[in-house]
Amino acid sequence: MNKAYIVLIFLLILAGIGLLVLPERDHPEEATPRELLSDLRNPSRFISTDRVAEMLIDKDPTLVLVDVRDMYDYLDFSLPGAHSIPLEEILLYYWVDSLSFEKSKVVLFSNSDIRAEQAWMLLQRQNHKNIHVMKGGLNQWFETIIRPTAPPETASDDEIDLYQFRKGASVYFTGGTAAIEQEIEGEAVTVTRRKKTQVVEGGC
Amino acid sequence: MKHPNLNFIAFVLTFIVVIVIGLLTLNWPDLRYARSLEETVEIVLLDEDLVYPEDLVMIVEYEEPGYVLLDLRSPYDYIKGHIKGAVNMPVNSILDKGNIELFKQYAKDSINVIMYGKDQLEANGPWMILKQMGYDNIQVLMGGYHYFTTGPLDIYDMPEVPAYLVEEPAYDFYGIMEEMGSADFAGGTDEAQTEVVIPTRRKKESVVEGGC
Repeated sequence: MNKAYIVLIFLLILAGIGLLVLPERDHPEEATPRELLSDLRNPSRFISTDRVAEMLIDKDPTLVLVDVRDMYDYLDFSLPGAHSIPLEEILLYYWVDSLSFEKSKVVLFSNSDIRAEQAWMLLQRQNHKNIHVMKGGLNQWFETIIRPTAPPETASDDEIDLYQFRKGASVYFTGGTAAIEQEIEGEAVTVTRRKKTQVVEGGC
Repeated sequence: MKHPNLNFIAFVLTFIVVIVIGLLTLNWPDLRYARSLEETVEIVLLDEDLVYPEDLVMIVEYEEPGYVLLDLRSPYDYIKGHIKGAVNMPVNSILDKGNIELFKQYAKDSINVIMYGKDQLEANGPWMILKQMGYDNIQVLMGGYHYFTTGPLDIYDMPEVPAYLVEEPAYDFYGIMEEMGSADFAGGTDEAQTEVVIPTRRKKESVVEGGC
């Protein structure tokens, strides 16, 4: 056998041992700072309180609400069906299953959206892909869903529709006893015109 | 084999050269975290890097040394109006080479960098990224530019819970819910949710295309 080959084999084994000794990279699957920044610039992580209300009313099974405030706040008030994962526990391993469930839509919320976004950043570094933040948090929830303010009479139909939805949602979430004090007067009857369905039919 | 030694040395040399080239061309990330996730959680919970708007008023007014103000909004918003003495650095560019050098220089000179966006949220993410990379001298203005230009800044004329403390509950959640007559709203009603995966089936798009 060629002597050179023996030496080469020896060198390879040495390199292999060297690899064994090398320190293990602790979190090889982490997102880089640059990836974090580009995720941060993507506004689709935010989900509005209206959308959350809609999903709750529809009993959407894919919605996973996560309250990142501490236990006391959670026990005082939280959204229906929300899980409590305080920010200091967000990295604990036993949440990972419920957070990394692929088909689900995890929505983090706090009183505002700062804490929720901090939790989101941490999970983002762990490369979770389906995490969202409820824009405005519970303060916004109370402002828009529980106690919606009536739009001015000059408001567009969309705004009035939204207000009607919020009123309904408010009744839904407070147990159905909330009195509807004022109806919007002079609600314009809108003529909905059917859109023409254009099916392009080929011909000769 | 006339010169076994020469052959052998050439072999080993090429071998070593290949390994060295491999190591050099390895893709090392240029930006790395100095803090683990666990350390970051502790830092975040401390809330030590928040600057109160009324404190910033003093810093701006008396041009206190050792502070740099960074405006994270777009150049367009910056031109329309910014806090006196602030430098514009749009969020997209905070990890650019030149800016990283700048942050390193600030850290070396122990200058406090106060960042602000249109609200606190806009500066929160960049702050967390830089913090995780080990830049400790970075702070965030509470309430952001919006509060600084509109809200009350006089310490004697401040409501009990100023509007920039956004994480404070703005309402008595429990009280409102009770008043509105809801019986079961508390977090306690945590029924074990069975998560059902609904496979979404794509609808076939049948566009009838006429032909001859």
